[in-house]
Amino acid sequence: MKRLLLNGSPRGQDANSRKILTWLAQGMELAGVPHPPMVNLAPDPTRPDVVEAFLDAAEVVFAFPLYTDSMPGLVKAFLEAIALADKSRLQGKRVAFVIQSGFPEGIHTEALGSYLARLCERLGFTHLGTLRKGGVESIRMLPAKKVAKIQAIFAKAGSSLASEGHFSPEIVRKMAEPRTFGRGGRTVIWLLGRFGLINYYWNHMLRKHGAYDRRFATPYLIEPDGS
Amino acid sequence: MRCLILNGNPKPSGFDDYLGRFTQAIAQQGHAAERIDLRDLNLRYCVGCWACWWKSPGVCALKDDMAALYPKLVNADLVLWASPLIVGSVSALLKKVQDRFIPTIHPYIELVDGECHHRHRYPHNADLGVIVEPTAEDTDADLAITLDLFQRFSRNTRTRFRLFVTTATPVAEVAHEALAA
Repeated sequence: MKRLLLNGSPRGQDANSRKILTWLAQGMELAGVPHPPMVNLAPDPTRPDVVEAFLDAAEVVFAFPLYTDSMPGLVKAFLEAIALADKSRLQGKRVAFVIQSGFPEGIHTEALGSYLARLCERLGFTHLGTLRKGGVESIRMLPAKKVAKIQAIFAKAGSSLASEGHFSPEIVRKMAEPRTFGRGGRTVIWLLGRFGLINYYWNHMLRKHGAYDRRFATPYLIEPDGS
Repeated sequence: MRCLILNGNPKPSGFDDYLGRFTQAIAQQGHAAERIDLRDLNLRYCVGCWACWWKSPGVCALKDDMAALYPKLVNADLVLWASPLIVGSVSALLKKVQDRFIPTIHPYIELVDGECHHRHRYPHNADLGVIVEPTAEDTDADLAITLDLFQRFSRNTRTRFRLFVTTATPVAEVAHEALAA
């Protein structure tokens, strides 16, 4: 079966989505499926070679980041392009999705998950499941040791896709947790905020770029006096 | 009231006429209304570089027609996101502009109603409205999903969600709803 890994991140080569697809493929390899080729949507998602690679594959794992609690515009442009293809090239295509986000709670990716399930119905795809994973924005910057645990979870999901023909429902469910934080989790976040730890990374980067003093800038605001 | 209508229709059609009548109805009631046909602008996709968060706070690094759109977005009282539904959701063109909203929020994270969200950058964010034109293929489920996606956008951008309508609603009714504070 012809398989394809599709990276829908606007960051292209330097993307968390790409990293996650590599981890999934490692799990697929463990289950006896060779590492599928990977294609980036960026910078132009409607390139004929990208659309053709998708149409030509029997099974596609499509990963992308959450943008404004939805899909990136780049991904939407790609979906609009493939929807124009002859229905016979879409019908029965086996498609799995991965939505990854910086926000830790699953509630942020829920509506998009519903959209993707409905998209499969609309275009005649066989939906192999959607992994929704929060709190992974930093994986592209962290050393291998720090991401080993999360790498193993994605590899396990990849193995389940290769051996069972779909993502394990148990893994799908667990990855999307927590939907929202309970009282304990919210208290921890409140404390992290109170002591400035939650925004430590942002402050570090603002300082690194000499922009910390301008962090609250409002460059486009027009005051009532027109200034 | 300053009302900004972002028309995400990728090709001219009757949807533009609907928005034209809506814009006129708002203006006739003494409000400032501006419709922008996004297809006429040179707009790039957000590349997730975050320069707007940590290099030039509030200013996008991409040099394109968004530069002229940001002041309008920031200083409007109501922004209407308008689009025909394509493959069950708003156009890629409109989504591209939604993605470029990032410079108008702050990277800092805080808890809002028990959820993690980004902090406001501006003291006032325009209210949000959505006008969509469904196709014959779109069902109530598609409309519900589109509404959900915009409700999430509204929560994220900390804007008040004022209306969600389809073009089946008479223009006068939509204008009335849009102007009801």
